[in-house]
Amino acid sequence: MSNYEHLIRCHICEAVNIDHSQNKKCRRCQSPISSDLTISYHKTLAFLITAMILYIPANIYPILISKQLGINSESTILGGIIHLWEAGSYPIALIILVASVFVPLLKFILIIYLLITSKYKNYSSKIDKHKLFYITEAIGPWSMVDVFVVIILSVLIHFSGIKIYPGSGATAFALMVFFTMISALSFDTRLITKKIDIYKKGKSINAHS
Amino acid sequence: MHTHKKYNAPRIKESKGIQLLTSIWLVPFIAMVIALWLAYQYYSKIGPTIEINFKSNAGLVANQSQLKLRDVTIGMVTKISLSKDGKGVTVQVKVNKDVEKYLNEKAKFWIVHADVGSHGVSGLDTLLSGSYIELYGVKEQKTKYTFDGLSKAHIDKNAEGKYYLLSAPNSNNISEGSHVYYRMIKVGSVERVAISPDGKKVNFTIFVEGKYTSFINDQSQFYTNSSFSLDFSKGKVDMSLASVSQLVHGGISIYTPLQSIGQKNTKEKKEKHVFPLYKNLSEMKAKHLMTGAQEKVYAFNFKEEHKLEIGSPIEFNGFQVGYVTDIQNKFILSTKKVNSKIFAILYTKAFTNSAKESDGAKVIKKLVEHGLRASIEATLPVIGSDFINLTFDNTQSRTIDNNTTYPLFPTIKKEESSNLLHEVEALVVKIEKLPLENVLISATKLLDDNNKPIQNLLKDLRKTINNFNITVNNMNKFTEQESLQKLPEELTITMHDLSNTLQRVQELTQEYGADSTFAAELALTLKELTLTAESMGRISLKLEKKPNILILGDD
Amino acid sequence: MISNQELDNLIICKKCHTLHEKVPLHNKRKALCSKCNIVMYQHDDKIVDKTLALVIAAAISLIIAFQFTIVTINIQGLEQSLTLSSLFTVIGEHEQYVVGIMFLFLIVLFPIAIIVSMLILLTLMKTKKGGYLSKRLLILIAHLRPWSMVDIFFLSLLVAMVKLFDYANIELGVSFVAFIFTLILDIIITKSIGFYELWEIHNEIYGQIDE
Repeated sequence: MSNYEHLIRCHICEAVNIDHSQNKKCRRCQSPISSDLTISYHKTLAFLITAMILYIPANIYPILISKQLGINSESTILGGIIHLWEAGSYPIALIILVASVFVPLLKFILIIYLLITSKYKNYSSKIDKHKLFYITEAIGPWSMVDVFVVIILSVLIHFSGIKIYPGSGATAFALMVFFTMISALSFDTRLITKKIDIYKKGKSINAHS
Repeated sequence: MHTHKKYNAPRIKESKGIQLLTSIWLVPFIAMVIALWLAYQYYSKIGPTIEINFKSNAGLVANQSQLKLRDVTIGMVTKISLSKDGKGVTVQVKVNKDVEKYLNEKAKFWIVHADVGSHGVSGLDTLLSGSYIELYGVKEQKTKYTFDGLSKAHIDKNAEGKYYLLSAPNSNNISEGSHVYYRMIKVGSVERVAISPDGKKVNFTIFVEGKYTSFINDQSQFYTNSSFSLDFSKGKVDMSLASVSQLVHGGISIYTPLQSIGQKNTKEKKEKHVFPLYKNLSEMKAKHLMTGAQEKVYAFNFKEEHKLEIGSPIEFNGFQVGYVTDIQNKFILSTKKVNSKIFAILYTKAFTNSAKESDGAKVIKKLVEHGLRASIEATLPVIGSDFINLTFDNTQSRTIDNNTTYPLFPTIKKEESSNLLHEVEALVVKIEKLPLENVLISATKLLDDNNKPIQNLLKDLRKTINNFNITVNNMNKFTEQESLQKLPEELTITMHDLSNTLQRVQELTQEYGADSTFAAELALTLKELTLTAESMGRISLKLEKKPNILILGDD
Repeated sequence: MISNQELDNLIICKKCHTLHEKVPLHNKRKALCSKCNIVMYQHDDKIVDKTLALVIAAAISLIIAFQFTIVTINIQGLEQSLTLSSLFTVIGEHEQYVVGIMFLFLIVLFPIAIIVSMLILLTLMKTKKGGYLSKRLLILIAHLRPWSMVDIFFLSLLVAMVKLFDYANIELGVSFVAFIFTLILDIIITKSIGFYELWEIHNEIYGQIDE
């Protein structure tokens, strides 16, 4: 099918095949389709780095602060997981661990991998890379679980004697998820199929391998 | 370039979908029905909004604090604002519809909040749950929607108890909120304390809960609890420290004679009857004249010094048969002494013999004629308090003198009363007579080195020690001699056993030495104990720092 | 150059991006990708009607979910209810506005926007009017769909409930069931009808609309 690598799928109206030429718009929905690959590359990378930077305060600052009879007690994501584990609620600890630690890290790794392989020739199958990208997009929002849990607990544990409220870590984490999603959104799938020269803006090399 | 390549062909799969054609519209229909039903339920339960004026807002929060009736939530505070006349706070409350019948003239609202005061602590659960408004009301027809809130919790007057009036020369440190006790259980509280209009005394209004009012009748006596009392009257030290509430606010106790409870001929008090409030228990006891109930007041003339007080007991054969109610002292110039006239109550009932003689007074009269006398004795020498002891003494013949206001009981003076004291005195005197000083002087002289006899003694001592050493050496030499072998064998064996035992003892002591395994094990155990103690300490420290671990698991 | 006609006959799998040629389907049949086996497209006669019914039900249940109490917990006599408005009250009380705004968009605004758009779109399609508007709506929905996180919110709800399970008495409110209902409907909508089909139908009804 190598002859048909110039057919791509419109992200918006789904599975409309478009010639890769200088057509800027999808033939059906007129959404931008042939944007500059280098710009896509840089956008993805920039947003990803933003997200990775945000991931640091998300883990350092407390995600949840509890105020009990005047005594403030803070808890970070990792601290919360450890305490949940020690307290014996293994399933909850696992869920939070997966959703708040594994998923973001996995997304970072996957997107970086895809970006790297778009620059250098690589021997994994393109189908696999497409699948990886699909996975990245699918698991993206699920990291928000922890943030929502904190908000729900803030509402439920709201008494005169004891209060819970989200800390700065929650804000950082929410923004981190946002940026990873934007990063995945700005990743053009053609980067998987095409090799690009990232320093020459506007010119993309078609590699008909 | 039009190589007609074959495209991929997708696989086909049968869809197992249900025939949703007509039934699909059922889904939104059901949803609509449910939504409407829920909306109806919700809006039909909402009742009117009422306004309550309070003097101040004690911890109520808009959209959070609740209105409760008998601990059931029936509404919620929606808005709190300053009242229009600027003198208080207006609280708007959204009330459930089914409670509308309670919104009438008789409804009473007050704020329940944590209150830690000297009269006690209340409403602590509101520290966790927040303050709330409590409603008390009865169902009535006329509804109204604006109310004035009370500043203190309302107590239901009719159903739950009775009010009594007391008066005293001063307030005895009782104030509103002080507790009223019967048999040391709180049965009510002081509602009002005020100076009487003529300024001569203080009036109290107390409220006693319904279930206890049967214990109060016209025979009841009210007295103030002492904050700290040291009771010597019974001859032993009886110390009691009142509770904190009583210490600050005082308390009132009720005493009702047992036999009067439940008796039909005792009258329930008229509303207006004012009970006197006694300053303390002793005063109550002193004035507690149960006329006609087999008690009689007698007078005693004691010429000697005494430490009797009001309330001091009168004992007969070790039993208390009465107590002192009044002491009048008079200084007699001629004898330059103080004469004490003691008035005391005797429980004449104690002297009755149910079969024969029912009038205790008569029995006492007879006993006196047979020699019953009163004398002052001390419970403990030197430190004990005095009491009046009735004993038989036939030296003189006397009778009860009935000519004075109160019958005069004959008294005698007990000489041997302070026996122990005298003996101690005698002992001290004897000690004094001993030539202790001389002995001391001689002793010091003796110890003087320059004193010849001591030196000689020391010399002798040294000589003896030397001799002892020589003896020991001889002993050693002796045992090393071969003649030891010639000693009877048993002795040898004994010697061997002895040396073996000594050796074992040595080993044992070595075992318990620093290098022994025992010491090592001990050290290990101690170390484990220390570790356990440490971790315990850490846990308790953690709990101290993060008590919410218990609730939230430190998360 | 491949003609548009021919392009219409091709489809690319969204997961593995393999090119396929479309095969016309009978009613109630699904086409799976040959390499990765996910559903690429389906065929259903009454797709607009079905979708419209489901979307109306989802809308009603979402409104219910937002109005009433989700759960009520009871810790030793102290009660606290979770409703949507209480969520915003608490966020405002603690001044965590970033989280609050994200929450607002992800859980409330975008889902509502999606449902409203779908309602309008399907009504337009049923009445066969407003080709331009329906196209914009389809594009809008396609943009909004990744940002609706109601199902994730529900999972966090379950997690929070399990966390509190040991300490408090939990009472499920009306909205809890309503959320479940909304989620189920959402899944059915996305699974049983894909947006690809909507585009196809759009093309059928309105023809190719160019701006």
